Amino acid sequence: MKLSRIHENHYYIGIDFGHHTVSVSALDNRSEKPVMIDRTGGYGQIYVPAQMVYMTKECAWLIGEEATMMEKSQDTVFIENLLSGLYERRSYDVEGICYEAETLIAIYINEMLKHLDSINPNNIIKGLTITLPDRVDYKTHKILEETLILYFEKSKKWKNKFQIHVVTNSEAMLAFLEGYNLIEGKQCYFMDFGHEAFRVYDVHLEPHITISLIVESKALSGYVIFEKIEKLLCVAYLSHQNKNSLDEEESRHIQDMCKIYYAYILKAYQNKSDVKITYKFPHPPFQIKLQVSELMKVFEPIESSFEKKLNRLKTNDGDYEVVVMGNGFRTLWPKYHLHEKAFSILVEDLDAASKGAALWSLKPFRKQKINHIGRLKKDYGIIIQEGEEKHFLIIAQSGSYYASDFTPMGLIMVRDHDLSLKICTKDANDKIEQIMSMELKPNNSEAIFRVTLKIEFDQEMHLVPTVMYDEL
Amino acid sequence: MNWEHYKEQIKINGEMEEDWYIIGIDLGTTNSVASYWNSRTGKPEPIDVSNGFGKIPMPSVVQYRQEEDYEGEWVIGEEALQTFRIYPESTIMSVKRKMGSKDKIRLNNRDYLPEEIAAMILKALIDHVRGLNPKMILAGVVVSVPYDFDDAAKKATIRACQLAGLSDGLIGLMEEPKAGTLAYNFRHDLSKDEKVMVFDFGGGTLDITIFCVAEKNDEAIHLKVISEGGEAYHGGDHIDALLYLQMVKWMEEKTGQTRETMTVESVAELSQRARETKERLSGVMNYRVPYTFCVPPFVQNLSRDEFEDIIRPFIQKTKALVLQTMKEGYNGLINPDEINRVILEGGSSQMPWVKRMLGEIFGDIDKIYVSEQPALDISMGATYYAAMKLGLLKHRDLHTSDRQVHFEIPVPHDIGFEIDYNNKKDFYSMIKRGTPYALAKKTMKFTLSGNNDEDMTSIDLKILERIKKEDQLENCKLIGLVRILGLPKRPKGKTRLEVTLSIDEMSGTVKGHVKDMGYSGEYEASDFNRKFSPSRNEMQIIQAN
Repeated sequence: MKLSRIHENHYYIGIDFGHHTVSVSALDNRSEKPVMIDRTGGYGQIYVPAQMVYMTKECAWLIGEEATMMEKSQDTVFIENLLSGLYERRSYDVEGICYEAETLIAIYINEMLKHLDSINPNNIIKGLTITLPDRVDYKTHKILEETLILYFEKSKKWKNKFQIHVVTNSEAMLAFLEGYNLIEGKQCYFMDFGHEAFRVYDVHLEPHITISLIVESKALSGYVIFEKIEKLLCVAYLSHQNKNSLDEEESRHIQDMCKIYYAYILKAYQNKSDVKITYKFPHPPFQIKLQVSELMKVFEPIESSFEKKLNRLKTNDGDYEVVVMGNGFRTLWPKYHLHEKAFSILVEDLDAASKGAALWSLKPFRKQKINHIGRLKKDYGIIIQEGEEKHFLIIAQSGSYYASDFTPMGLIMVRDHDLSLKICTKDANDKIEQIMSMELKPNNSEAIFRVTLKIEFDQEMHLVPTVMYDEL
Repeated sequence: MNWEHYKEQIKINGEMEEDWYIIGIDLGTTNSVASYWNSRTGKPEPIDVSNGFGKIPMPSVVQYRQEEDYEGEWVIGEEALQTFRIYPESTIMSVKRKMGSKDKIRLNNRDYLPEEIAAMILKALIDHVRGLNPKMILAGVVVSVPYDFDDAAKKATIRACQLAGLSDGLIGLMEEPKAGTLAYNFRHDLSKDEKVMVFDFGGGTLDITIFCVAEKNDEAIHLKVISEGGEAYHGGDHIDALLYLQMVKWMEEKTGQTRETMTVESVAELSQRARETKERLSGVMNYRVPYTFCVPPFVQNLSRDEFEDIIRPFIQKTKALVLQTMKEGYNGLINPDEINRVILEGGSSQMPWVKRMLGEIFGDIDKIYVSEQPALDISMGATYYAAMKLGLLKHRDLHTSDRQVHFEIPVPHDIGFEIDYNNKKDFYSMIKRGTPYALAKKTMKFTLSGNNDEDMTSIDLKILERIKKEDQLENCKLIGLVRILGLPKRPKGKTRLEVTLSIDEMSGTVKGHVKDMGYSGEYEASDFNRKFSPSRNEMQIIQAN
């Protein structure tokens, strides 16, 4: 029997572009299954930091770990948070040239793809799919897609034209399920325990594919865990060195240590054991021991919060399948709670988004096949007065899911004329409409006061705003 | 039970039991990696010692810690590397470079042989595999060694495997570039007659292997090694050492502090900085080296060009080793344009000058491929080999459902004796480099001569290995000395001995056999007929009477 294969020089690429890391997959020419591509060749981390640096003397870009290394160097322009930049439509000044976030992402991806020239100097890209977090709307997808096409049209790689797609993580996951023949008239949850948030999507695969976000928690995220680890390391350092605060250099070293010790500390918490931490940067270097009790104090509330979120999910009193993704699932306790709540894990490939994107490059789903339900059709926000002008300030962007954990907004109010908050919507034609007014009752008598406004939606998708009065 | 038992069971059952594990181990100078055969995917999978949080390879670092009032503890891997600067005197790195030597390593008030330290690394790796399945049963294991390892180093590696409890499953040793070759073959479609150079440049060694696809048809693919070269002690560690010397000079110039006054901790810190600088300059053009231990502390800027100038003699030697490998092909000279692709393996091959240098030799940079996973390929290749030995390569993705893979591995060095002919000592080659292992057995008859009874009743067999073709007798490496005593008393020139040397395919170690032949009907042969296993560390004495 002869097997059909992808030509050795042909590459179908999938890139999972996250907030903090980027990962790349390509289809294996023999099996047609996606495999991760590791720029470090196995010597380092497979996940490339989503950071880039422009070296002004060499007029060249570096990405990933090399960029991280150069962050504090002279004659460089360091850029991070590219994804936030993309959906906030940010632009960056690099040596007097203005770059839109999407152009920088295109440069980043081009630098990333240069690795292919090393592993196969005769490579031909046949398809490229970028997957972005679901919260990024289709308008932004379109912008990135067009920018990538424009960018690659000018490059050597375009000699053999290739398809470029930008999809959501959930769409990439569906491609993954289809690629592995796992779509069989089912419904399941996609659980993404990523750096930015813990999210659960309810996915129905028949009769039509529908996806909706039902849980989002930014308090349960890799980022929060990272911050807590950083705090643990700082406190232990200051206590050993008998100091009250860190200088800039110490702070940077401790941030670097967090990347190294992230795994150790989470493993120690998982094994309920103490962990030794070595501070190599001071002279002389020293080692301290973090007791398991300290770890439990920090991580048990996170674990308990995760468990509560699971309790809220419907399982129809039976086996409910879940697809898990995101680095948060590398630790054992999230999976332990899933098993305990009788969820069965359908796919446990934490790189399934980038792998799904590679499969999408070979066989794109038609976008209209997938229905995203429960998404805002308008922007939600408030009108603020700046001098003579009024501005609409977005809190919940159109295209976001109702269940999103929208970032609360802090506002300084002037008692004489700000005793109510007007919540408005803005449609695609920029038509602003007030939908709710909230009376404010500050409990002090100062001329100005501060409030934090949080927007949520209930299960019937009704707006539920909350106002908290903050101390000035 | 040994691996052949499991092979038999696999043949009978047509599959492997869930708890049986087939392992390939890359016991490296800087890092070590274990891979296992994933029966579900039909492919090797590397064991990630960091559980997905860090790097897959485990640093080959062993440390003994003895804190006041605490029991001593052994620390192996990443943690030992991270704390090297705190325990510099009891942290052992690059032990592989000492394999086969009698060097003693003093730790915990005891002397350890290099193989005992290596055994701890092997055991730590196996413990990580056991983490996947506590009920693991080792059905087969292959451990890789550099092409240039001599017989003593290979025997020390086998001893390390025994000490680590791998004896039952041990299928044998495999030379690293061959493991890399095998891993590459299973990922790529090679065409008939294609010639591929595997340039495996690690922390301690440079191994160069050229193989060709001798045959490829619907039934089989036949890979054949056609030249091997490199050097056992030519790797990234040597670059670190060159850079270290330059970094000491900068320290002396900037602070007036001398090398002699450096503390053990400062030496440890500076040597770690040298390695870090080398690695960082692979990615960036300039690196600022911090000297935090100096008074006053300072920063030294080093560009990639300056770094390459410091290591220029090393670069030139590397180039010479590549050219020599092409010149000394088993079937004669191999021209650069005959090579279709060059595969870069090993961490040191990531330095930009390596690709540039090879591009110049081969006149086409597009021939230079970087392996997808140079850090993992050797262990994965060793796993493929172990699976092949156990009869498991049947997965459709490997395309072996309809095609057998044959891999012809030759002996890498000349094996022979020291002979004394007309009072002139010389190396007599019995098994020539390039001979396939399957044919690596040769018998010769020698006539005993001497001036007295002692000369005629005893003989010393000095078994040697000639690493490079041009090496003179004094540069040949001793495999072992075998002294035969008590041979029948006969006149001068009237005793003939038949000596056979062979090489065990799976361990690559030399074995022998000696027999009294008498003398052409004039003297009857005695019943002296003995096997021997030469060892560098201990002379083997055989009594013939």
